[in-house]
Amino acid sequence: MYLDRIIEKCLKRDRAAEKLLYLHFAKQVFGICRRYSNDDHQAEDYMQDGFMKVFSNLKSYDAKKGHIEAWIVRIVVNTILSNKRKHKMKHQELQTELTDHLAVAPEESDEVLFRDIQASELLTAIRQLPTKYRDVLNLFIFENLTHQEIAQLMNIEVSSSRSRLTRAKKLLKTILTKQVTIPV
Amino acid sequence: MNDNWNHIRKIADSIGSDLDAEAAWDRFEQRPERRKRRSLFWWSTGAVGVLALFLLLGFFFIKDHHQSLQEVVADESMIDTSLKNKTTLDVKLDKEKKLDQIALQQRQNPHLEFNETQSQFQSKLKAKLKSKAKPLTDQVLVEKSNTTSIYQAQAQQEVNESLVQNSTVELGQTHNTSATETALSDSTSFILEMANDLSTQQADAVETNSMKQKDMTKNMGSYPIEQTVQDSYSAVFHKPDHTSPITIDIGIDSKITQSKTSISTIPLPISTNLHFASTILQIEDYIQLDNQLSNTKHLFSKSWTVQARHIYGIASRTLTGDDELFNNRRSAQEDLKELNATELLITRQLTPLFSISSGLSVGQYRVKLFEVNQDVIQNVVFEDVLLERLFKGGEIEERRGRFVGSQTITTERTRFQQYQDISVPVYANLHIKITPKLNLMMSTGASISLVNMTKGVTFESTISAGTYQSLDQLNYRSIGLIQGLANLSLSIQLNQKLDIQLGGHLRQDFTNRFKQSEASTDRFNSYGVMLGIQRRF
Repeated sequence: MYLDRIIEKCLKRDRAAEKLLYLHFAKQVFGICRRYSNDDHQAEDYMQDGFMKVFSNLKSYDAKKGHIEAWIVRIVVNTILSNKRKHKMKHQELQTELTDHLAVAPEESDEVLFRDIQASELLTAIRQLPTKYRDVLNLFIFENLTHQEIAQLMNIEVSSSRSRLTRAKKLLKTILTKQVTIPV
Repeated sequence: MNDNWNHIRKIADSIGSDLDAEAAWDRFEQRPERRKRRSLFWWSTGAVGVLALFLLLGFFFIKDHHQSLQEVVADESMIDTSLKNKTTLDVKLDKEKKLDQIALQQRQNPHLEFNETQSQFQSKLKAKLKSKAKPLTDQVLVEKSNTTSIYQAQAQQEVNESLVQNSTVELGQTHNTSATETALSDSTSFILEMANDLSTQQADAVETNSMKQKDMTKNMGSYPIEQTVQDSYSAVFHKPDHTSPITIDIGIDSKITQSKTSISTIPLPISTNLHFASTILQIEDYIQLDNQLSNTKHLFSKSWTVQARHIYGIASRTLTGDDELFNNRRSAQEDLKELNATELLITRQLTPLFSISSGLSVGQYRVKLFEVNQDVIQNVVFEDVLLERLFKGGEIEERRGRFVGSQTITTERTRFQQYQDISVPVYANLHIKITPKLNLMMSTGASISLVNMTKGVTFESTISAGTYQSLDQLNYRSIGLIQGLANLSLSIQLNQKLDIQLGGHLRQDFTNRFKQSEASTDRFNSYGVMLGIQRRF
């Protein structure tokens, strides 16, 4: 009910309500944007662009089809992907070259390694992934999309989505393994 | 393995927890898109406010204008009442009065024409009166009643007066009026019937004459001067028609509608059979569509538009200088100033936000002056006035003579002045899209006139019976009048090619309407509403 009232006022261009909605979802959205970005500045740009789209498209939100949180996440993720297509980042390609040569850690150690990591370590590991792997990983693991949806969204084959996910998981494990096993 | 990923998801939920949301909001508010939206809101609010102010002021002005007219009418009623109170003779029978009125009108207005039937009827009446005349009693009868419309083309000055006569008898015998009335009612009822018929036909004749005069005025192209000539004994006060119709010509106006594509204006497609999660795909389509539409902006950025619009405004004027004539007459006596202008413009859309317009404008300021003056003149000699009527042996004899009395002159004047110009306006337009079919346009510009014309007459002296002078002789400029223009309007898109436009208009003279040799300054300004239509090509 609280969010419904806020949304209702946001539709009337009430700035106070817009601020409340922003503050309510800002941290969650920022976390998402961080996973898709290479640094926090870029993440904030994604977040601000995403909220801009959220407020300008709020009238198209239908509460009967899902919760506002899910709708906002979809808008933000879509905005991120759209921005990425517009501004292809060269350093991502360089990273791809580097990370493709990382050794893949053995799967047996996954459970132990994953339970000990912190959020910052996870974020660092995700950011080290090549963009094409990172995006598929984010969409599949964190946004719960299917491979068909990912393929359609990223304009790739379903099989490519599957292979990228597999590769992303292995790379992430490798990175996390190194982070965890290597003392700071 | 799945537990690992669930654990990863939980960890990922806290990735953004260290964000300072308040600071991020402040940065969000500083983004250009947000500032633009806020400025758009205030511009829109301001535009609506200004438009409402225009309408409100216009409403009150029209209301005040009607009130001023009512006050004038009320003053005339007072004049009428006071004149009635001055009557010293008894009121006669209505039908008898009609008979006298006819005779008096015929004497005072020789040009008044009777048709053949009326002339024959009158002759028969006179014959019957003569044959049935009986010596009864003498009665003083002084009666005049006349109402005519006289036009400037016929007599500009001397006939622009209302005669109200309050007279005393110099010659003739005075007897008991009531006895006369009794005798009339008993013995001459047939006369009254005939008189009634005759008066009806006489009224037709008066109407015919009035129509002829109007036709004459129309043919001569002059401006009518309303005038009422009225007798102090007349039971009917013929009120002049000062309430000349105020015609609010609503023409057409137009504006450019720019097509600014915005993501906010495109509704998301609604999928009814997919899970909500699939909307991410729809949003992707939606963003792609937005990008495509963004690329079509150039289609509108260089378009041509033809606009036609009409402006109706409430005007005022600033008159400065030492000329007492202008200050008195125009500042105090004017009760109507209005602007009518029609513009035909061609607009070039340079960018989605900016365009320029130019074309031709025909404008007219219309000024109405109304004045009522009343002067009483004593010891005025009236010649050939019906003094008494004798009833002898069934016959009626009329005695006429001269009498001296006071005369009240009521002068009513209505003057119309027109200031016309044909000019070339140039506008710079700013377009702001509010909704897909609603746009706000702000325009500012100036115009220079190719032709200035003035029509009508104006007072030359400050006395009520003064003469009048044509505006053309008052040293007004005939070319080169520069005016500042400003519009604020809303445009509603009817279809892809056609828009209608409604808004407010401001106009201000930048130059003096007088020539440089004239010491006085005369500048008009106006505000009003405009309605237009535009067609894109």
